[in-house]
Amino acid sequence: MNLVAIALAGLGTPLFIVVSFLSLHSFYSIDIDLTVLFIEMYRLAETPSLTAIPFFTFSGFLLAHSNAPNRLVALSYSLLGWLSGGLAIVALFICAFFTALTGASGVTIIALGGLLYPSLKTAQYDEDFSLGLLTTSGSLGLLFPPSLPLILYGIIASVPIDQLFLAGLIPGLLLLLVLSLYSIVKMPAQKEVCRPVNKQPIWPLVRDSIWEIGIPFILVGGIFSGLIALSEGAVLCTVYLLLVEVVLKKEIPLRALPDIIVKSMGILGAIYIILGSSMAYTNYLIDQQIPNALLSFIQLHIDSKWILLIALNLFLLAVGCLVDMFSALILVVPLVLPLAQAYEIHPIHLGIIFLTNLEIGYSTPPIGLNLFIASLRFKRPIFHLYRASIPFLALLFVCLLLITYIPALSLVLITS
Amino acid sequence: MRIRRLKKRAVQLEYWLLVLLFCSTFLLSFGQILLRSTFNTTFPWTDSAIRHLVLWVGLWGALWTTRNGNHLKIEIAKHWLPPPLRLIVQLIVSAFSSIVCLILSWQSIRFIRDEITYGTESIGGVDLWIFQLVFPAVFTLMAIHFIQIIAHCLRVYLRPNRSLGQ
Repeated sequence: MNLVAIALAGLGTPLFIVVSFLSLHSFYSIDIDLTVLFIEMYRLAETPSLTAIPFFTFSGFLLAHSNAPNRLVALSYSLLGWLSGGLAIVALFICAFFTALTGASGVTIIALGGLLYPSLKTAQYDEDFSLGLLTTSGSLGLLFPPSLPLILYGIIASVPIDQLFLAGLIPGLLLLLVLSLYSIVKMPAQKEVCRPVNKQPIWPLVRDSIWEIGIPFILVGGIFSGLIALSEGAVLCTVYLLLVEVVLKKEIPLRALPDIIVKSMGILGAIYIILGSSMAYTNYLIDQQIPNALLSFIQLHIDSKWILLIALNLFLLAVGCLVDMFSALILVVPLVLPLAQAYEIHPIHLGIIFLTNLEIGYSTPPIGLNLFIASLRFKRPIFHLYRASIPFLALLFVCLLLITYIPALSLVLITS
Repeated sequence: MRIRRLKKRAVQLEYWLLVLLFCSTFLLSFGQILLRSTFNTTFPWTDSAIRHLVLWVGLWGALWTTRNGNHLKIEIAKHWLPPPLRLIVQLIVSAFSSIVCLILSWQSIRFIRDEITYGTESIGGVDLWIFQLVFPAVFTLMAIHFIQIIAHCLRVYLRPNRSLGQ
């Protein structure tokens, strides 16, 4: 039956159907009443942190539909334009900022790709470089708060979400730093010709974008100071963005809101239903001691934590390029968590390793999701994008090794 | 024609219900924050009501995603299969999905029956099972949606000159 399920998943059956089918079949085969699926799925209504997710998703969509991307690009270019490789670095930082707020759902490439790609091209950056940069940047930034995958990992692994937010900061910055250095190296030989012709003074640009730039700081500050809970932060973020983009700046007309709500809640629904359908199946696996069996099997063959980490990285990269980030988290974290505990890997460090892997897997050939989104967005054949993203993937892989083997990068901020 | 109009109405209903559910969740959550911060008080049922509303929003959003065919899936087949085979694959996938949804819908009705018989909890005076009605509603509508795709595939298959997109 598992083979049937894998075959159907490969044919493009929605994953929640595949997981529900596996649950139904598994519980039926051990004579347990199938209503157990709903007893478990109903736990969705008992998880307080989940109430943050609809509001963060909606906020991300609001931001993407406003003029914020344009404003942020103009401002960052004004601030960093003087630097060698400035434009590429601008692209990296904006993509990271945007992904942190929208969750890695492909919104970044769609919302920002169209803005940044022509600028990079006219600045005479190599085409492959520009495509690779924008493709891999589509998931850059998901280690920064308030990224949805971080929150979801916190919920599934039962670790404090505010600590995960802190833990992601240094590894996230490391990824940005390495790619920025590469951008400086790959700067067009000729000085960037496309400096903004009418280079605008910085102050008005700062004033224009100050509302959006403030969000992560206010949010993180509020949550860490204990003033607001995560779910309250999400609601306030929505209120704030509605005030700024709809009332104050009037960039999003009121009549566009229903469409934005429906689009964003559609994305939320896709994640939510997999989470719901997998709850029973995860319990079945734990009940049948599958994670323990996996653990004893691995303990037979691997006795060092470091070798386990290599194996884990390879496994997670494969998962990341096969399955989308949210399903991967929901389905794989419960299996891997006991392994990490047995080998004394800190669950927060594991979370950061996990997300970095998925971030890279997202752009890994042959079927990383970012590649397909970029192929559609930039109208380039997929093989072209494979080639373009390889140098970036290699660099990100080096960062992954650093993040994996230097736990302090993730843990120093939470232990200090 | 009548069926088409009915379908259009159904889509509109699903759309506006999703908007309404999100807005209620939002207003209730924001109201709760205001109450807590200004009067240092809140209703005892709001937390639970918000969590249940999020359950509704999430599942109703999933239904909307089913309508748009945007569920999370592994899309190897879609990218590599030739178009005629794609149609057959879509038929198999939809048939399988509709059967799973029908079973889920049936099991959720049994789940609610148990809750009506044995349940004691309520949220602000409303019995819990009423909030749980979202399960059979969503899974039945999903099943209907997958059956519609089957019908569409069969129509295209029997009249190959019609394109897939119609």
